[in-house]
Amino acid sequence: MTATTSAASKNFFGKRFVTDLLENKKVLIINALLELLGLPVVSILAIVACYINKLEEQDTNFYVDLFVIIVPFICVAVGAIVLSILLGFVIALFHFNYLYRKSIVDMHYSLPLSNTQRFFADYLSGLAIYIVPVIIAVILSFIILGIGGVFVDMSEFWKVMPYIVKAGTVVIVGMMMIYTISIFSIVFCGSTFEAIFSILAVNTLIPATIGCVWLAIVTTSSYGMVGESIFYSPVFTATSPFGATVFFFLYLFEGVDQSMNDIGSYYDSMYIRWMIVAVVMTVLYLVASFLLYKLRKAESVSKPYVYKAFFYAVGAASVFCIMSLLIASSINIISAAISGIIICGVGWFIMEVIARRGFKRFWTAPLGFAAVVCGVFLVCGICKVTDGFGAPRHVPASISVESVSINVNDNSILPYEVSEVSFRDKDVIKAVTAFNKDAVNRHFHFDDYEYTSIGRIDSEYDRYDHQSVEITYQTIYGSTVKRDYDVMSFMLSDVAEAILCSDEYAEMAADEIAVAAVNATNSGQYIGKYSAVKSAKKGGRLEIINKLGQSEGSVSLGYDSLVKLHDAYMKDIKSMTPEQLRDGNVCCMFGQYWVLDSFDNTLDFLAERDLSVGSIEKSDIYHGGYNSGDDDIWLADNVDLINSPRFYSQPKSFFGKSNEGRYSRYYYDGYTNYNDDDRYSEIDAITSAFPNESGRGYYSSDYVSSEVRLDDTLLILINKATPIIINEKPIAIIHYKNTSTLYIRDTVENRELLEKYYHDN
Amino acid sequence: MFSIDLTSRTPIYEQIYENIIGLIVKGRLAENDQLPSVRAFAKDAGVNPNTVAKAYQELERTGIIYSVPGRGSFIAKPDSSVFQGAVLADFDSAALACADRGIDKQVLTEHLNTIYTQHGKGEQL
Amino acid sequence: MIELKNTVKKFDSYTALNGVDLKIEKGTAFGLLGSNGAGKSTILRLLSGIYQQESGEVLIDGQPVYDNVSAKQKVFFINDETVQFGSFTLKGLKNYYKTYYPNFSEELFESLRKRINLPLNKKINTFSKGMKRQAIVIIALACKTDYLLLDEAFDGLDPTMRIIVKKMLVDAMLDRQLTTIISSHNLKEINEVCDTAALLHNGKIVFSREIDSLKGEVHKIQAVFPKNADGTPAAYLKEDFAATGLEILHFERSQSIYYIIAKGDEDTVRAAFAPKEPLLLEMIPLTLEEIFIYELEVLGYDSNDISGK
Repeated sequence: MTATTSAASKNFFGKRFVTDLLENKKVLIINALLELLGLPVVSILAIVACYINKLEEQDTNFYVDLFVIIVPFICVAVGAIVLSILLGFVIALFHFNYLYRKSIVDMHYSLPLSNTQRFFADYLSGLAIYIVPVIIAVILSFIILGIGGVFVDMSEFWKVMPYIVKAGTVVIVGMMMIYTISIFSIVFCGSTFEAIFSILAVNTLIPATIGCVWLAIVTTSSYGMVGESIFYSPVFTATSPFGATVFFFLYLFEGVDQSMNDIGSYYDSMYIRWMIVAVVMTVLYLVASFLLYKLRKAESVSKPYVYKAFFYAVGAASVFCIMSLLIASSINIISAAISGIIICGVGWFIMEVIARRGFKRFWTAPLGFAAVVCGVFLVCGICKVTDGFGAPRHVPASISVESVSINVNDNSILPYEVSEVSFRDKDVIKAVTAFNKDAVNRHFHFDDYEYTSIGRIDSEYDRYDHQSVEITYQTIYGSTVKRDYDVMSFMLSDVAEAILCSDEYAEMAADEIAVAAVNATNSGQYIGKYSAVKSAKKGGRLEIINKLGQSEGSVSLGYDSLVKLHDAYMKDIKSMTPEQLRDGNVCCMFGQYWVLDSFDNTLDFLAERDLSVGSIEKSDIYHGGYNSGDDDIWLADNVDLINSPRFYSQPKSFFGKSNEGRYSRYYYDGYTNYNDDDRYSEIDAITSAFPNESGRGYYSSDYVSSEVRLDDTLLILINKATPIIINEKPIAIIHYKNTSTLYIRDTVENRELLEKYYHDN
Repeated sequence: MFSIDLTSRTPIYEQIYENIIGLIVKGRLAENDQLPSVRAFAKDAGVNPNTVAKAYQELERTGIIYSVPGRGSFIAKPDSSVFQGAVLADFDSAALACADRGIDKQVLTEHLNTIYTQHGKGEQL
Repeated sequence: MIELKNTVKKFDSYTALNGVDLKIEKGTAFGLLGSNGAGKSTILRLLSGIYQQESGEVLIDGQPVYDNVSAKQKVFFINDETVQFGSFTLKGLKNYYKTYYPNFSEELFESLRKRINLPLNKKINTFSKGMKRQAIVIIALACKTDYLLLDEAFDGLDPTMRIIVKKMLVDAMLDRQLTTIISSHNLKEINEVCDTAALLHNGKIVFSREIDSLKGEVHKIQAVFPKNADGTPAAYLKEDFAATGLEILHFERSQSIYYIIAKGDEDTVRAAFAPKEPLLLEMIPLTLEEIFIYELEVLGYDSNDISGK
């Protein structure tokens, strides 16, 4: 008896599944039609687009306004896809309609079906109606593309395909979340109006509350905080369909671009993180829905509320969002708070009247509202007291950081490409977190630091030092932490050192050198990645320049030679030590990447091709100067020597509490200068590792000395000068035209040479 | 043949019981005549089969009918004592009531004779 | 067999069933009586597994009903709603239920459908109220469950259909021991169709008995007693007739005539009245309706407040 009953009862899940499908045939058909209008149409359009592109390539006279042809179809297809996604809400409402329609409660609950069977059969049948047409459309699209690929060359398209597939998976997981969250919302409700309201409320309030908490943090204490970083955090993007949509567009526009064209992208790991969190959240919503469903009573339908707590949670969240938005966006907190209380009070009143169906025991309603408002103020208060819940102070522990990427806006410290790399190197992570802590310390313990104020700025000798740094941490917990800081360059010394000595940098630099060489000869077609170079097996042209930015020659390299150069450079840089970096001499450069004299393999490579880089001669420098009569001494007007430069920065502005730094006192000194003794402070060390085209800091051509006597001493100094300076104060700066800035480091020898030069001239 | 008054105050099974006895007395049902099945009776009269079954059981208990397994229920040999007993008891109550009202035996006997003369043929109705 | 043991069912703060004990044997047609809102539908819904009791047991053939597939399979519940089947056709609805009730009989369904001429392929929401009722009744019967629960279900059935349904019930009761539970205010109907009845009031069972024995126990008495020595009418009170085994539900006097409703077996009743030497003592059986009204009157649910007596 038991055997047959259990076999029979397992069957009931299947029976319910089938009867659900049959009951909702119409929706299934509509969804199928929408899906057919969606992706398959897009595939056909892709084929057409590729075909027309090819025709245009072959015959430049052939031009068809692709845009005009495609746009109406794209609109239809996109519209169909959007509608089919939105159908998720509707399907959820249909499959669980007995939760909010009193007339059919008896019918569904009296069927010989256990709660578990009913729930999962209804859930899965709805999911099937929702997702299966999508899968079929996808398969159909691939078939179409496959067939199209036979006739039209679609290689361009296939390159992008993995990313499109990934973006597609985001959509599918997002759809499942829409469906599951809708059911989660419906489970709280007992009437049709409530169910629809609940779906809207839950879908809006989850991202809104998270967003508003973040907003509170960022506006309360914003030092270093990056507002948009919430959009990169799975806490926001993987917990609601709205968040998923944000992530989808982020991935599609930023992420794909980065992944395809740049060296390393944190979007790849962000995608995986998002996927994991999104799937886990969907499962959690499902489990929560199931448990709440089981607890529900049949008689709850058509009662004012099934779960009282839900109404209050929605109310509290709404109040919180409205209040925090008002407080954050207005100057006068008191007036914002008052208007917020009034608005929320009205809304709360309405909600209570609906929930209680009248005015029963209405005296408890204001109590509830007061409690919620107090709660909101409490949260905002805690936020203020803890400086945004300690968020700005928080620096992820280096062991918890999986990768970090850093962007320094003045590329003289780190080249632009470094900003596209995710560093996993432990030393880099340690250095970045240490830097982060330094910046945070300077802000929160501002008075512990002494900054010597500088008084008047003398443009010729004074150099303004300001770095904007953007850091992005990916932690092992799946969160993305972003920070923006304004700092002085010396603070980045350890970071620069750690990065430049890391293997990841070595690979990136070597790759970039090879890619630049290939693109120097490749007409029209830009190759972005070294992997593309390898698969295309292309060679290129390597140009060697010296410290002053002048070309020392160039050489054509076949593919094999290019690879050899790549590997040689990479090996050299990997074996570079920090000491070699600090003290080394720059022999030559490939674009912006220097070759130190310790780079044996690279130098050997160059030597093999008869490319030796000698020292800088007077003839290299001379350009339009003239002989003063003395054969050995030239007057060069394209060299600038700045003795004892002074470096200054604005620490109060960077690190001070917001009001102190920005709006400090000005005084007019009679020379059309606005100065503030407190604003500018002298700094006694700088860091720079790459040549900067416009020279370091503000450099006005007005202050170039018209001529400089180029004697042997100066020539020696020029040869000793280096573009790399790390956490030191140079005793002199040499500018060559507008292309090169070199530093004279503070050594005994250099001092003597400098003294001698000034003595002689 | 059977008339069950669903609106009457008399319990249905009692009606069935009385109905059958009445038919036997009136000669409409003779010994060994087959009664309708419980099912047929219940459907015809529009009453609960359990009630019918109960009536049949009571009839069987008092010996008015007998049942043959697999075949049905049949009228037993009519035993006037069974039929007459209950109705005589009713007569007793009526007679006593008359006595209470001061109707003496003489008047009662004359009354009885009148009924028999008016409605029947001498000694029989 | 159906059993409710000390069942308590609450809706928020309102207690609908306050410790209900009920036993319903197989093969009976059981009537659930009660004032409006007494809890009759609640009991039926507990038995179909729609509601879950707060405490106590609700058992079908010894198995608890709630969330129990094998127990629920034995029960078919017809409620008093008419809007629920919406866009199903009769055929669609039949197939829907056929999936869940394995004993479903196509032949029975077809023969019933043909007798009352219901169309297979029209949507049920185009049917009249009576036809909608008929539709679900024939499906219920075709499912051949052991238990059939009807909540005010004879409403909307025309007299012909009533007779058809009653005949079908007879067959089912005899063939497969169908147990029917009917909740209704129409006591005439209960009287015809049911053999057992229970009265529910204020969340408790007042009585649960075979209707015939119920009727045999409650008597409507009209009595006239001799006048007093001084010629005034004798003025007896209810307590004057107290006796063991006798419960007086209703006691009324108009001049010399006493109208009494008494509960007890006949002989006990007569014996209680004999000492007062009644001039007239008429005892007639009550209708089920009268039993209902007088039982509830005793419990305080009556029409007196309105009539102002």
